[in-house]
Amino acid sequence: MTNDVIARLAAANPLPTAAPPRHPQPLVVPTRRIVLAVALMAAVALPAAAFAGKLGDLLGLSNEGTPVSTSSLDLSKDTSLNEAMQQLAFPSAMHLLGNKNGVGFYAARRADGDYCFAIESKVARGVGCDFNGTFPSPARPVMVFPPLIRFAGFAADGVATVTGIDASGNTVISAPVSQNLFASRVPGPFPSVVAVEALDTHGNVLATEHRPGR
Amino acid sequence: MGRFEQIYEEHQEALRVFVQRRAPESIVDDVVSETFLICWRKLERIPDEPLPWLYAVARKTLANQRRRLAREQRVDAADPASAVAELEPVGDTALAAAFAALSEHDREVLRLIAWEGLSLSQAAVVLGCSALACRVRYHRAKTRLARRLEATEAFRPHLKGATR
Repeated sequence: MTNDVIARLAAANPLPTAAPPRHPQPLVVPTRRIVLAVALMAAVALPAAAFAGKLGDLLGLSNEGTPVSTSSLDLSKDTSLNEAMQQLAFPSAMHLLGNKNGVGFYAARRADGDYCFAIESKVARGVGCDFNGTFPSPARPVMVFPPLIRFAGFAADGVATVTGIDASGNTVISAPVSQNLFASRVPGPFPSVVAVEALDTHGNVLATEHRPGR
Repeated sequence: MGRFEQIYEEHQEALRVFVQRRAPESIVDDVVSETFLICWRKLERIPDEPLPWLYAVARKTLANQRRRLAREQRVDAADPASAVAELEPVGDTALAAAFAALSEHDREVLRLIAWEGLSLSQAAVVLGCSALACRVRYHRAKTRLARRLEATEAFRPHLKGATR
């Protein structure tokens, strides 16, 4: 009798087959430039006043954002992220550059001049620093944040669209840029993406960055 | 293909269905995304058989989402079901009624076996219990469902004939 019940329950499965077909969604692997939770200790945080109003110049981004206290961010309340931020010597103040599709974007500069970034949304948060100092530049106009919740990141002036490309050269995900920010409306992950392209307003490819190992 | 990509390709559809059976459509994408985010972060610790592990992570993620939804919607957090939609058995009214009468504790182990098609040892991974405990839980739930079903069908009204 009880086994019959299980067979009957199986037959009444409300989703008996695979879900409606969905294209595999890309994963944008963390860029090499963004280092998460690297143990770099004891750098002195740059006071907010030291660069208030200068973020655009420092980053080469027009969007200067609004200064906010790092400790006021939700991601600072996440124990593991807070530890990572301390190890990365995050400044005590960041600049809120804006919100897109539920993702908040923050940027700041460490005392040694390296840039740090953070994003947060309802379901995920991330922090990282660019220790190579290559963003933004003509060769590297886009900083894609790893990797799964949204296709999201920062883009230099002149970048109108950021696209994720698969191994066949097809566009898997695309997001318009405004205020130097982009975030796809479609949640990730996006494992098929092997490269990220930065496009200008005419659709010309300004730069392509391949995933490490791809 | 890297291990993460392989896991994603092989299991993303199953994981999505798993979440769809337990959550409103509005949060399915987020739960699936967050589950894979955790998968990516903990890639080195994922067992050889990833699917039960993914289900277990998704259950925890869903529980967090329920609490968040409950807070946002100002519903009683003690009744998170009001913020969540769970799919019921379809095409079998008596079974659906009997299933609904079970505790969530019972329903979940039955879902894992009957709908997800897991073995008892796999279900144990999802539920975070021993295989033996899962076996006991499953048999008790199955028995309770059978009894509920018998009771439900015993009281099913006879609708033959005309009414006026």
